[in-house]
Amino acid sequence: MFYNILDWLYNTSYAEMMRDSLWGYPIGETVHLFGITLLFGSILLADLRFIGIARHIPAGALSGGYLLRATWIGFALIVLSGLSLFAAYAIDTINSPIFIAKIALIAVAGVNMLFFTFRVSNGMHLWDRDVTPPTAARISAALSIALWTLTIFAGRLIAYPEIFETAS
Amino acid sequence: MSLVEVIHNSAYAAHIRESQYIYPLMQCVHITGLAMFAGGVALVNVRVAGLGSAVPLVDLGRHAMRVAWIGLAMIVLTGVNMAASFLEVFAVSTVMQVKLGFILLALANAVILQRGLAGAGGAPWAISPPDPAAARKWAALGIAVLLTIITLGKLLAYIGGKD
Repeated sequence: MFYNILDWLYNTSYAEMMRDSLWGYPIGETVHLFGITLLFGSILLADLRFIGIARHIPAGALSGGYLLRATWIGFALIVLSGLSLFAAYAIDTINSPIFIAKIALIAVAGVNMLFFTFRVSNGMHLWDRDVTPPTAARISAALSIALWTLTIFAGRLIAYPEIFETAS
Repeated sequence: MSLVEVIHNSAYAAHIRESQYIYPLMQCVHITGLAMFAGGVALVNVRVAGLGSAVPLVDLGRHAMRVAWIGLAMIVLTGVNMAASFLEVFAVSTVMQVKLGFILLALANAVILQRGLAGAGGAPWAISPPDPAAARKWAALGIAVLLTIITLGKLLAYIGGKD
């Protein structure tokens, strides 16, 4: 069933264009990098503040009014290009252990983000100038940086399946 | 033997080239650094142009530029090693030369931002920040340069370079 859907996706004319046209895949990869730059750049700046670095910046204004917009634009670019790149080689990609690891990392990063948003950040307006956020926020922010960094690593390594071939 | 050949054929370059892991891991660090440098510089450009004015310009700028400079160090360190490991390819690559030209422009952008945000006698922009309307076209140009560098970097995987 799942493979039928992937098979259908692989055979759509859009996936075929991504796979076989001269520019489809390179453009998809480039847009993916634009998105990574916006998403990771903005998340890193916010998380460092949440950890307690650059404490003189009011956390609420930094995150809510400014960086979060960049994060969402980056996310949109990543999802659009990512689905396109995935469709082009759907079956090969789903069988790649490092791709599965990447999706797992994104899922954990997403849960961590939800935890931060709904359990930790309700006091963010109090993290004004020179206020260090509570420990739970600092741990969540550090985890966020680690998870997104590993996601970038895993994403690049999808291009090297030979590294992850099990000796069999 | 030319210098390019000497470097390309050195044991060090060969070690990077022939290892299954080193080059891919350098790419991982390169992309992480890229997101830090381009992300940081782009966000400061956007702030100078007037977006996110609830965040203090100088505080935000210094924070973002610190991240950007660390990112640049990661980019240069890995970039130099990757280029050295396939120098006979990269040294004659037009895409690479154009990319290096745009990198100089991005560095100029970063230095201009840094000089506004930090100085021996305090930040010039703490006293007189740039007019957002006037800064807008420069910010747009700076971001266009960053996007061009990323595009050319990706293009190197296809033309005149190495994946």
